[in-house]
Amino acid sequence: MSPLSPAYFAFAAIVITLCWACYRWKYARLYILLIANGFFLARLAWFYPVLLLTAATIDFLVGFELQRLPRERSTPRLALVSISVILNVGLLAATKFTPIAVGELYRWVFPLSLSFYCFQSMTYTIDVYRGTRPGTRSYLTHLTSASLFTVIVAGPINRISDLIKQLQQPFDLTPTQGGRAFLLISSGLIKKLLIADFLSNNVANRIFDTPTLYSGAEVLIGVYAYALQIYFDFSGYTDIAMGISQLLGLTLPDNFNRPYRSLNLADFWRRWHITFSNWLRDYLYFSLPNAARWKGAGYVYPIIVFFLGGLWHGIGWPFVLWGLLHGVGLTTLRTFQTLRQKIQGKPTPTPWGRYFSIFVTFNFVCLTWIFFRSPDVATALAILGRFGSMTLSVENISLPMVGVMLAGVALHAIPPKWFDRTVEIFGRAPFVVQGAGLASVVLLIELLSGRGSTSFVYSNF
Amino acid sequence: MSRQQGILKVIHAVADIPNDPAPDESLFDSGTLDSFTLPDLVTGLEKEFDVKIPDADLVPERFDTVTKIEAYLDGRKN
Repeated sequence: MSPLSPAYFAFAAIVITLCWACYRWKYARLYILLIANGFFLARLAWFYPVLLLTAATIDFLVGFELQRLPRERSTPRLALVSISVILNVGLLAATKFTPIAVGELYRWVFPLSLSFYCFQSMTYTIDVYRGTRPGTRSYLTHLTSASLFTVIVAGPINRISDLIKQLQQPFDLTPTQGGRAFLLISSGLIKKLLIADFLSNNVANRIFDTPTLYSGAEVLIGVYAYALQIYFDFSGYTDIAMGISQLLGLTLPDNFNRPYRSLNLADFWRRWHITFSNWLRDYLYFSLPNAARWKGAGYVYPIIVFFLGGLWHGIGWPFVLWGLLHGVGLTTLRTFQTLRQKIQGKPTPTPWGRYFSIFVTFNFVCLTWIFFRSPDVATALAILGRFGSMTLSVENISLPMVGVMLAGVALHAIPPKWFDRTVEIFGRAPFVVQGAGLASVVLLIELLSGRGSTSFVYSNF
Repeated sequence: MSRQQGILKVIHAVADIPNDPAPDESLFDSGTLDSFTLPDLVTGLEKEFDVKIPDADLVPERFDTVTKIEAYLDGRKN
């Protein structure tokens, strides 16, 4: 059941209606959500509910014991959290190595990678171990949080403790939150079906599949198109997940903040896949030896962290190189900033300096997308080779392609304040106006979207 | 000097920001702090408040806002 299919939306509508009907009874709502999670997982593969609920049970028991043991008993506490980490990393490795072991058959073995589930599950036991967030003694709430169907496919990566806290509170949905949810779902569908799929089918896929058929300029446009495609694909998915979760009474963290306006690579990782980069920082970087004491850590650990972050997306050289480019890019940035500060102090950036920084950062990120998108290193090198050809023909780039790309750039530039203001106005509008607005979005998508939708890029990770 | 003023002094020494962050503003989300500047913040806090912060406590979550840093230091002093 793809998160874009009519079946998924019908399923979500039934679950939301049942949760609303039972809003007074907390436990009824939790049971409905847990059964819905189990049903969603079973539709992917019969053994998923058994596997994930068993893993979540082990994490719950680990968390339960960690709450019982005083912090002074560091050895048994460390042993307990290690069980959870080994379990989740083992599950993650199993889903990552299965494609290598059994080839294309893996789609029948593991139709859904467990990357997002494993990262999210580890937040619970590590937070309880560190004492930074409270645990729970409610088995039902923990299972429901860990297996939440709205985020299990591709995030956002929540902290389980935050979900538990929200699920234990009385159900609440204000008109503004309802309006926000519907706007998020609408914006997610527009981003995915009208922009990401168009750019994927008409520009990026063609150029990445056969780069040698295109000029250097066309390949460059193809890479820019992919940068827009992956942003609108993933942020579209995130909007839909946030919107459906909001209707279930859960507020999820956002994953994006206009990432292509970043001033440097560190800024980019504060704006792109935010929950993933926060996870890497909080649970991986600061778990490395002496990370918060050793000054050299800032120059070495980003390379290790992003190497592993690359592998999280898939086992293969393109993802490794993508991760290494980001890791080395971050350490180079640190070195440059440190040296500049020693020589110039803290200079105030000029407007042109800011534009130049955004331009350089965006193009570096696009360079890394070439490795991320290419099926192998040879294809990535072929694409880079096309830039060297210095051929400038753009005869394969049509006006609609340019139009959709410009629309994408404009949509990406919309300040978050504008969205918040629209939410306020939409939330206060009469129900009939809200319904008409949503119907217009569906009609617009029906009229303008092309061939059938493609799967979300990040659902493969 | 109050504890909060001392914390702000350390933050200004390690981060390039023109104004004081709000007490509950996330220092990591706003880019005021990151994994590179956290070691400097920790060292600065230890010197400013004459406390020893154990390695096990060196996680961003505890130093994410001025309020959290204040609460953490209160706990250490007690």
